[in-house]
Amino acid sequence: MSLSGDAMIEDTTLVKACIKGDSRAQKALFEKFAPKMFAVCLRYIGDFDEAQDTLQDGFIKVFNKLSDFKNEGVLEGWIRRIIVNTCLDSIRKNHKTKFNTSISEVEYQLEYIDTSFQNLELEELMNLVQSMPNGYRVVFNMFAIEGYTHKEIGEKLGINENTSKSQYLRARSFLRERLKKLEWKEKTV
Amino acid sequence: MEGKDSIKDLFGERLINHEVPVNPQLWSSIASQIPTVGSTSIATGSGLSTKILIAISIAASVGTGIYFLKTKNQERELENPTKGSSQTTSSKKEDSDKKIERSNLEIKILSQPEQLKTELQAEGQNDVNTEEINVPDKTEATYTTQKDKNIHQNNNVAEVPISVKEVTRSENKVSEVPTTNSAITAVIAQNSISSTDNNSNIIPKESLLNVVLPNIFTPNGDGRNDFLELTIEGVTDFSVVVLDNMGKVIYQSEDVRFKWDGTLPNGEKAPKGHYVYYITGKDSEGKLISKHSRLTISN
Repeated sequence: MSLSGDAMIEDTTLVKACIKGDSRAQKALFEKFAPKMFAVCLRYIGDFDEAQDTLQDGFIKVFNKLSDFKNEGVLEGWIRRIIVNTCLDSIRKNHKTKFNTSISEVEYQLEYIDTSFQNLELEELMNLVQSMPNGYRVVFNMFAIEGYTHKEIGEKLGINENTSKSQYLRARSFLRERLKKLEWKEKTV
Repeated sequence: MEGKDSIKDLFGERLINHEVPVNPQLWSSIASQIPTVGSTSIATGSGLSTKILIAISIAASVGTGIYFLKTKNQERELENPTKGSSQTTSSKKEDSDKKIERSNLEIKILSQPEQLKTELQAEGQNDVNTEEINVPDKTEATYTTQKDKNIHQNNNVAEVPISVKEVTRSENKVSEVPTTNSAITAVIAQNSISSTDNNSNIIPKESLLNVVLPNIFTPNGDGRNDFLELTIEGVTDFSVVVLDNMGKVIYQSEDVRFKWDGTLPNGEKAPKGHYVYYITGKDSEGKLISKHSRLTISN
């Protein structure tokens, strides 16, 4: 994520105007970040409509908390954290997910999608992520894509750090299994 | 797991900046909720006061209004008062509530195209929302992001829909609101027609704008959800395109009453899996509307 200085300044101006309540600025901010954040929501929450609702809730939070944004770090990262937290809340609320999944569920998921891909496009990677069971999909997203540490994940989800690690490993073997089916060859074993 | 984690690399690098198009309508529902949610918190205090200011500046004569808004945005405390605006400031805090109410009324008269929106808000959420009234041309800033194109595009879709969407939600209220907006009358009319429609489906016909796109169907011949179809009316220049996950067009039609049974151009059944489809068309006012949805075909 490399942002030029101009982009930072642009964000800062945008944030200031949003805090003042300028509806055009708010709209501009939304339009700038919503597509990326929607992809985040879709990764955490498989269901399209639910992801959309979460995106909405998340952005309402973003706008309400905007005055807390200190211009330290990148706006996108700050928004992303809020969106991820909103996703976690939503998953907790709607699914009562235990972040431990039983094996039978994994097996069920394994035989669910049989679409074959020639090469892995983004959309397909998204599908793979979305096809994972809630439990380790969340851990996988947080660790592999958003870059949280297992310790942070443990704190956020209220699970043991080691549980997070093992969930991640399960997610990885799930994906590896899938990718094998899709004839994607991993460079390292 | 130390060393190279190629799965992490593959997914992490490619998905971190992945974007998925967002339904433009989503913004309108967020916009309607920002002031409501934020009105009590200190965090948005400054935002709120600006809203009040905007409301006041509309109510005041246009010239003073613009000046006032600009100065006010720069400093919250006015140090060198100027005739018109300083008066407004002093009285602002004393009876801001009344002011908002009054400005609401005046806005109704001032901005006709936005009239309905204002009235709805006045009805629904009392005061604070006046900020929603997009005072075009009066607020000075234009925000150009790289997504300028998007904004432009969305303007068509998002401006009027705001009101239409609200209307459909609270149908009872709406019928009392006097309106000249034809789009809205159309929606109400459609809903009342559909209740007497002897269509075997109870699904009311929707305008293109409000139609909820189904995201799954099961072409297995069991009589339930066997077809992809929509119940829309009042649409011209309609088209629907279904793409598979490789981006290949596998079905298209220009008939609003299309009915796809999941058959591919080569006559085979589309495999179960994930697809996406887009619909476009012009509404009764000639506005181009386009929507899309994911589509799952399953058994």
